Amino acid sequence: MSADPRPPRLAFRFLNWFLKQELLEEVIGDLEEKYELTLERGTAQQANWQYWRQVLNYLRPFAIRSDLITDLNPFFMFSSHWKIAWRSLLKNKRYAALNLTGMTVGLTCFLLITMYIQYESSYDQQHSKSDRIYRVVQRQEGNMFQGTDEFALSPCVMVPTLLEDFPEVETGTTISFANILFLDEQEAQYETGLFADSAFFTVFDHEVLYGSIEGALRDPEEVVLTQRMAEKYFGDDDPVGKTMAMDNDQLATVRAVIATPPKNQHFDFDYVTALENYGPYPDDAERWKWVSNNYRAYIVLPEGYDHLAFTEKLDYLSDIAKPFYENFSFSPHYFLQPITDIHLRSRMNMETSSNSSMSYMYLAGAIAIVILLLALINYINLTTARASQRFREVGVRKTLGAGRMQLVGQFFTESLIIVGASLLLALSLSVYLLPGFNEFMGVEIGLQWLGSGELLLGAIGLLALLVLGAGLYPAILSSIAEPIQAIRGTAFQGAGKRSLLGKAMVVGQFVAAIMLASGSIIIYQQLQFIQQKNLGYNRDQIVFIPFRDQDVLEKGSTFRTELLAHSGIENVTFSSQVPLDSENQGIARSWEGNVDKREVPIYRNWVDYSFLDLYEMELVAGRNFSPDQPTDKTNAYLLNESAVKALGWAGDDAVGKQFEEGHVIGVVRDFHFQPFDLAIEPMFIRIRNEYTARYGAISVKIRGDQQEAALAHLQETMQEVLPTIPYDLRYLDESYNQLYQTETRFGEAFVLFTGLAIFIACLGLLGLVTHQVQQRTKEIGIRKVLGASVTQILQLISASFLWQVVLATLIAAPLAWYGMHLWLEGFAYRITLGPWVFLLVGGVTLLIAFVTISTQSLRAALANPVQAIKTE
Amino acid sequence: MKETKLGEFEEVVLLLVGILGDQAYAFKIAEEFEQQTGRSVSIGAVHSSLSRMSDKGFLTSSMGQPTASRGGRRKRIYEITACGEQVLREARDLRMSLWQQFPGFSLDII
Repeated sequence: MSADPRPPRLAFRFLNWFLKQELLEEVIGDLEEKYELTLERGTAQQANWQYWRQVLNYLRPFAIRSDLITDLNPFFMFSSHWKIAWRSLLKNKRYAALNLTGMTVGLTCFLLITMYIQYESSYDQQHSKSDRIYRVVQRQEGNMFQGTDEFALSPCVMVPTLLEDFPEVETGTTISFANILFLDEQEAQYETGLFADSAFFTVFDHEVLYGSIEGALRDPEEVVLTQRMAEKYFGDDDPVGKTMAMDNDQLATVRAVIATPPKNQHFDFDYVTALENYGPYPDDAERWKWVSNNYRAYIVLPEGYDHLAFTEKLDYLSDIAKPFYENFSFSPHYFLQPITDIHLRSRMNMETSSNSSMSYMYLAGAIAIVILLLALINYINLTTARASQRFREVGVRKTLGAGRMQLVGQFFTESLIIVGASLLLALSLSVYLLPGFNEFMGVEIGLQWLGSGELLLGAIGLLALLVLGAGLYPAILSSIAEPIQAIRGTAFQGAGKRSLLGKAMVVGQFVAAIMLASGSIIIYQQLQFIQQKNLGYNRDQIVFIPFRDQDVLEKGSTFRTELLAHSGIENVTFSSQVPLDSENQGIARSWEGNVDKREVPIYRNWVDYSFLDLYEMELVAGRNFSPDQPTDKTNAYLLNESAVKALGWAGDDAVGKQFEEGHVIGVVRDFHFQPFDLAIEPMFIRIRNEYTARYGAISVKIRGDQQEAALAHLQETMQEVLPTIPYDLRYLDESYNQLYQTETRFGEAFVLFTGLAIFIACLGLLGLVTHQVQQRTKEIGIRKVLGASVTQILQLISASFLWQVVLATLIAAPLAWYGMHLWLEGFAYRITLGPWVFLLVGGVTLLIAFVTISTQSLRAALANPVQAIKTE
Repeated sequence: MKETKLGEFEEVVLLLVGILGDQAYAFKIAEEFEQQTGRSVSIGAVHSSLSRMSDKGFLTSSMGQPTASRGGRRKRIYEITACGEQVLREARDLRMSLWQQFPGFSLDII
């Protein structure tokens, strides 16, 4: 006889578990009959399914075990649990406060960082077509500039060509930017203009506040303002139809006002006007065509179109462009870039904004998770420690007949109170801190991020789950203690397995804290290094005023004399570049000894006689330009050391050699004229002429103790001698720091969050130590009676914790070292990593731990041993 | 304090108990219910109803004989009490009275 199929075992066992004892026999019997009946009529599969159905249908109040019912009903004991939980927490304010603080801080950090990550990932997503707008960019093979050969630029003929040759391109727009003077009452101000063709508003969405953008940008005499600019010039009035004075002589009518562009966009502007108004455009369209790389091109492809496939189709454009590039040693290769990729993944030259990068996102995410974990571990440790102190209560309850579920419910409720309170506090704190956070990070996160976004909701959901689970662990732990032992206080005296896990968590906390701390110190060091490194020139007390297209050559000397009349002004110079971020690069082709006809890319700067003096640059050979030598104006070159090397000359020989249109009169020590992560490139310096003097900046060196007076004098003199130049004053060191904005901000944020992480870890340590000490009160008492001294007792207690800290340092150090090493590689000039940082951090941690432990154990050590032993 | 209201489902179950006699246990009642009404019902639902009516005093029960098909387990046989009969009768009377008043419907009672 073959074995008959039996009802599903799991269902059977489930039934046995939840069903009332007295009903078991009849119900099981009935269900078996049903099972066999179903078997007769159908398959085993059907019978099984039917059995499950029947079992599940017995989940009714009349049939479920009574002790299960009372706990499955969440509201049954809730009010009682709530009261007791409150009282218990109030009695132990310290524990509650510790736990609450740690959890709230951790949650707040987590929330803020998560919002930040979400925000940074949201760049350029506000347009309805965002997922199919692509920027057309190019790679110029052979033209490495500032570390990459990719350029976020396009020629002005790109979009028209694409629109014509490819029907799948729905629409496209060409834009460019320039700072144009606007007259506002008395002052002239530079506003950032976006110059675009008439398709601009069909590609990018903008909210219209006044007027209409239909057919805008066709008429070059019209302008569309952003709300920010409209308010600046017209206050709250509707400016549509009014005229504005643009660029010294042109008049424009306001056609519409659009909402100020949000910060999470890769370009920013104050107003929009027709592309024809862009200075170089007429020439570019007529003559320069494929080399007119002053523009940004965007196209819209259909839904789901593969932009990589499209990029392959663009190969033929390189051939079309080639003839225009015959004077250059490189040629362009065009490709597409989704605009949503720009902010975090684009590192090209000539970006329209300073981008962040994915690695910062990952790092931010890692920090958020670390902080959360720290808070969680803390919570678990503290709660477990606390629970073990209440075993007497547990014992009594059990003796009085409390079911396991009830006990779990009790602790659960306490956990819920703390978690709930923490969550509420964290949310309020996040809202309150958001403006400060925004300013600190340089972003504009609105409150809507708090409520929306799957990331955020998912994070909170996961969080709630984790924390409730964390509350469950100690709850279950305490519920399985034997009542009698619990009352006696001997339960869990030597619970080996549990303390190993606990110890591991403590070590883990310290590893995280030490890693973060060492990382912060190193980052801070590197940032300081950048700030203070000898740049080869002095940038203190220097202000500069940039200008474009101005006739300053003639008035230069008058200006100088007038300005220097004030004692607060030490020096003045005109130059085409300020040693900050030079972009003016040309090619050197002819120099003495260039038999192979090499070509060297070289940066250019056109200056006057006082340039080297003002910036205190050092000459390593030869001499500076001199007004006594008239040929200096036309024939003389100064080279930097890198240039000399690049040309293949020995350092001392350079002076006198032929170079380009003249010869070298001196060699300048290398100075940094580009961001720090790039090596110094070759540069030549010449005296400026009529053409090259039109663009550049006036640099003024000011005496520190007469700053205000000097600046006032400067402004006056400017008005008098050079009234057409807007007084756009900049400080050289501030502008310099701005280059490192992202890194600096990142560094500061890192330090801040590290501090918080350490704070949380310390809270945890405090709680644990307190608990340990309490547990061992009796033991300490006995030891004292047997003659142990206070120091010996201190040693005893500290020992177990201190070795954990040492272990943590040993683990953390190599990890942190590796991470920092990777980060520093991004800098061409960096500090060296030494072991002393880790020793320092480890040492300080030990100290903090020791102090915490001592203060707690001191109390126990000094207590009356008789009292200690008497206590249960 | 006697609960005298009888739900529709309860009424049917109670009637079936009467009909099945000494075969009136939860499983059988459920099967009979499905056969007679064409509606599917779970044993648990029937059991719940039986239990409720026992509490109201309409039924009593006792454990019957074990059978092999139930793996040797006994079944609980239900029996209508006098009170249960009473309440059934009242329900029937109410129905009939209403149907008699119903216009254009003749009711032949045999």
